[in-house]
Amino acid sequence: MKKRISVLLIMALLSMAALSGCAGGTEGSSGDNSSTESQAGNPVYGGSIVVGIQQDVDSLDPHKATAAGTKEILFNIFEGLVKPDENGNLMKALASDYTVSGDGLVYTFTLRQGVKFHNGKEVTAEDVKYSLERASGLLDGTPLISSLSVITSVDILDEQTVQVTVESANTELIYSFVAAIIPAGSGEEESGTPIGTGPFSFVSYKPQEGLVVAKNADYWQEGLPYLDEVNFRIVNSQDTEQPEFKGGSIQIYPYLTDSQASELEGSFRILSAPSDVVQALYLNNAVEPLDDVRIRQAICYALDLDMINEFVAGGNATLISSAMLPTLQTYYVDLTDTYGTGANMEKAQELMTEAGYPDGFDLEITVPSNYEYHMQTAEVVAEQLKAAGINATIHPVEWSSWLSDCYTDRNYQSTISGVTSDMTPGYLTNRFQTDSAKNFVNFSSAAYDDMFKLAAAALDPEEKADYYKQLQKILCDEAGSAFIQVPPITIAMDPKLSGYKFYPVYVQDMSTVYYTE
Amino acid sequence: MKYLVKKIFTLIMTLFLVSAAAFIAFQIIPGDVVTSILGTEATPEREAQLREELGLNAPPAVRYFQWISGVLQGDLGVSYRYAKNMNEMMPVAELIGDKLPVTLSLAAISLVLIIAVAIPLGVLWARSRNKVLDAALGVITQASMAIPSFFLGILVTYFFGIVLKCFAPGDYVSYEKDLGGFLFYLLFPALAIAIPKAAMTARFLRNSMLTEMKSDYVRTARSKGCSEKRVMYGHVLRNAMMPVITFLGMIMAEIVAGSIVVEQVFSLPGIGRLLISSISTRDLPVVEILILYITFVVILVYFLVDILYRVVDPRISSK
Amino acid sequence: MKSKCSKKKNKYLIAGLCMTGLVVLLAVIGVFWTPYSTTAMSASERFAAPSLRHLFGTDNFGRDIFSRVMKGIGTTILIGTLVVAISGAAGILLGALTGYFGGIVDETVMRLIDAVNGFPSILLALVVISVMGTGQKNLVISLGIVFMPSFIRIVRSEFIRLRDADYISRARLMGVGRLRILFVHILPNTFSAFWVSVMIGFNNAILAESGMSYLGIGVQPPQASLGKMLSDAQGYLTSAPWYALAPGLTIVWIVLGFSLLSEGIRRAGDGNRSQGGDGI
Repeated sequence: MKKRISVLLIMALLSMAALSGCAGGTEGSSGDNSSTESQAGNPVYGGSIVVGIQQDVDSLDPHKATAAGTKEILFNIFEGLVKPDENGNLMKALASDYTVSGDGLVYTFTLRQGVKFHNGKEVTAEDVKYSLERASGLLDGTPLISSLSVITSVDILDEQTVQVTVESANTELIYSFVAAIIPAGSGEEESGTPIGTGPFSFVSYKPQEGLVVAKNADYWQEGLPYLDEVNFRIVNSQDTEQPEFKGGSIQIYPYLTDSQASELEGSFRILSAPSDVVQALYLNNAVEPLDDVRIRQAICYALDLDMINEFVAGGNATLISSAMLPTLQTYYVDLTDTYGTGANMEKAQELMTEAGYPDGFDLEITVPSNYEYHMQTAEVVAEQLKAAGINATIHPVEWSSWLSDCYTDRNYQSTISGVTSDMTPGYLTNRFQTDSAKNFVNFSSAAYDDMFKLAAAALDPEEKADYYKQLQKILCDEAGSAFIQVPPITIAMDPKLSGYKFYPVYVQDMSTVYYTE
Repeated sequence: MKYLVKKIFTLIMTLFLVSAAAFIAFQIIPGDVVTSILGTEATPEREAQLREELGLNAPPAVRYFQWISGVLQGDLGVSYRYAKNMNEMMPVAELIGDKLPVTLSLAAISLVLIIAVAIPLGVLWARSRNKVLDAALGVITQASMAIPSFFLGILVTYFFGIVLKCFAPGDYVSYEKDLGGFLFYLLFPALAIAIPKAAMTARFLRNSMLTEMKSDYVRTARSKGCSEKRVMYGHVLRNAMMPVITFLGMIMAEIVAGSIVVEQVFSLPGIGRLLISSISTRDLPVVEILILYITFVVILVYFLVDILYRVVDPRISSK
Repeated sequence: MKSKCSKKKNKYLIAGLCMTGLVVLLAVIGVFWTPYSTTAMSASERFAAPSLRHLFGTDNFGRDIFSRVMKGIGTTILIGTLVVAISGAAGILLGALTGYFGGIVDETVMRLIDAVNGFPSILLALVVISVMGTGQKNLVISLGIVFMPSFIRIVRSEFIRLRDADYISRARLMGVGRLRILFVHILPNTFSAFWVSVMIGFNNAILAESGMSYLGIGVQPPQASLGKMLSDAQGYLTSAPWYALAPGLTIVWIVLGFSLLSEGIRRAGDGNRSQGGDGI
């Protein structure tokens, strides 16, 4: 149950529609996190690998799976009409082409010819209609993927063309069409094996042990995948990670802490890229004394982000002061100067005195204890706050308790946790609207609410980007929370392997991984 | 006979109490399975749908009654959490049936190790006239008993895994794939369980033998001219073994419980780890059955030990 | 035979006293003074190997492990003591009542104890912690509950043994009040058996505490606890083995010290029965 050092894991649960998108829709947003790895060596086809994962699979149904830890694996089995690429753009997958009507209400998809499901049957318009209706709730009234609930009808125009009508225009909706296409009726079949169109097909799953996939020889992308078999093995105990690696039983381990990575350097190839998680000391804006903006700002000033980065991320994290990922370049604005990345005790003291707490106050930091990364951050943060006269205590809770107490009931003072993104700027920012169901920090700003409406409705890309930048500024100035960092994803890989690609979203794409000669 | 009926009644009552306690505990624990599954993306519709699917809308008392009547009819329910395939959840019986061999094998190997080490050691110790050996064994066994099992697990991992490279920690092989590799891997966690218990058993056997050696029948046998060997193995050891066997029975019960921690250290997919993760994901059907199972095994072992005592020593039968 | 016995008892007692004495001394000093702060972090001193400067080395935050072990011993001993105090007090009360009076109360309590005993202690503590939440107070309470049955059993059986003893029947004939018989006449005579089980209980409580802290449900950071340190250290086994060894060996030292001590006390208490069962 406990600690998971891994950064990613963090999000794993926090997760969610992690798969559902790519970088904000602009070509420019590719980010520099693309393959940091040189494609050395000649690819060899065949072979099998073991990939360590830290979380058990929560569902084998691609529409029902909610944990990012599950979606990252299912990415290899299922595909949607479109899918993200490693640069954060959308590429056409099961749709060979699509058009959106001028008013943004009608999407027309042309299906790619000759794509086969793992059961050998060709993908038809029927399958697409079924899958989209199932995910959007048109089948039984309950949307399985909430962003698709705006779909009002799915119509088959001809064998190769499907038209989707939605009730309101949103330029970010296209990213939701990464939703898996599955054979018509398979979602209701008894004892259905997961069948998709991805580069790998499902072989077996055992709770607590892992999931095995095998090469899809008929995959529509020429030349992929390289490997014959991938075994995603659950390694629940962070404690055995390292020896396990040294024992050579795992070829790719995606979520390493900085210190683990440094131990493995030499015998393994260590690759690193920014994750899609926004880690912060989230402050409940509705409780005393955090309802006073000066107190929240004082906390921001008191934190020494550089030191946190050094201790928990080995200096590899990206420091942030608002809720946008720097990899979303079009929308991101660097606000780290607002409070500085070092500690500013004078300023913190001054603000606290102004707010009527010259001698500090008690602050309880709730932390999901299964995430070692957050726990370690909390230890450092508590120590820094103490230096500023704030008596911080750490209150570790189980993840289930965190979800119900902190996230759902908002019954907490402050919490260190991470929120994953789906790479649309709206996803990251909508939770800070006053009446958002996801606004677990109880942030409340009329200016922010108005601005968000403008941002969501904007059709002009530049205008949209500008609104999103202003949103970040408001959130930062009002100190909606004390934002800390985007933790790095660090993976260790067997030196015989190559071709691993980092995605700006939470996936483990094994199709491009190969053994070198 | 009356004794048997009473014991069985106690067993049933205990299982009932334990299952009710676990059920009530789950109603009190913050967080439920629905929030745990849906995480931060929960929407009211999905929550309602999931609640309906899992049958969580009925009042707790009704659910408990439904569950227990299911169990009585042999239906152990399905997991809230683990999928069997795309549309079905894993039946608890299947889930546990798959993990049970791991924990049972671990317990069995541990027991074999304990016996293999403790009995020769205990006999040697009891017979030893060598003060140094006596003191050394005393210190070694005391020290092994003082090591927490998880620390021993770490030491075993470090020493055999990292330094000697005898095995790859974490490279667990399923028993279905490679029985030999499976048993070999289990040897190391079993070692972590067995060392302190073997020390205890050896001490126990030694003390038991020393007591026997002072008893009248040994003196009689000796005075009749029995050889020392015959006295030792024919009389002393045989009589001294009886309490040891019952002691081993109690240890068996402890192993089942102790494996919870050791499975964690060695990433073994046994019922201990299943239990811990099921508690944290609020997978009540799995937790209930596991708790019942563990309680049942423990009580059963104690019960058998008790019976054995009565068979060996009829004097206990009344009180 | 006799002389051998008494010689041995001294050895156990002396070794036990030395080991526990050292530990207690360190813990007491740790309350007032440690060589370094137990929470101050230093980026430049991460994972320093044991040296004269840092006796046990430093951890992943650059904190001095020796200082943290000193504090950790204090935490561990405090928890062990509180747990034994809670379960021991309850054990005396319930054990005395059930043992002396018997009947339906006895029957009920014993069945409840059977139920609790049928449940692995770590599991029970786990469930209790899940319900009450983590924290040192809840840890003490849950372990207190877990260890209660063994104390009740021991006190009860002593009371059953003694209630029919001649001197008790005589006291009863003389019209001594029930409470007085219970707590003045019988209770002191149960102490020798009780004392041994206190020591064993104390050791088990320490092992359970470290086990639970290891599983992440015991003592919580930044408070130093031996079990939690061990659990944190496991990720750095290859690069910083001292991080795991220091708290691990300290736990072994404490437990060993107290078991030697209890063995010594037991042998001192009843030299004649010393060859019987070993305290386990």
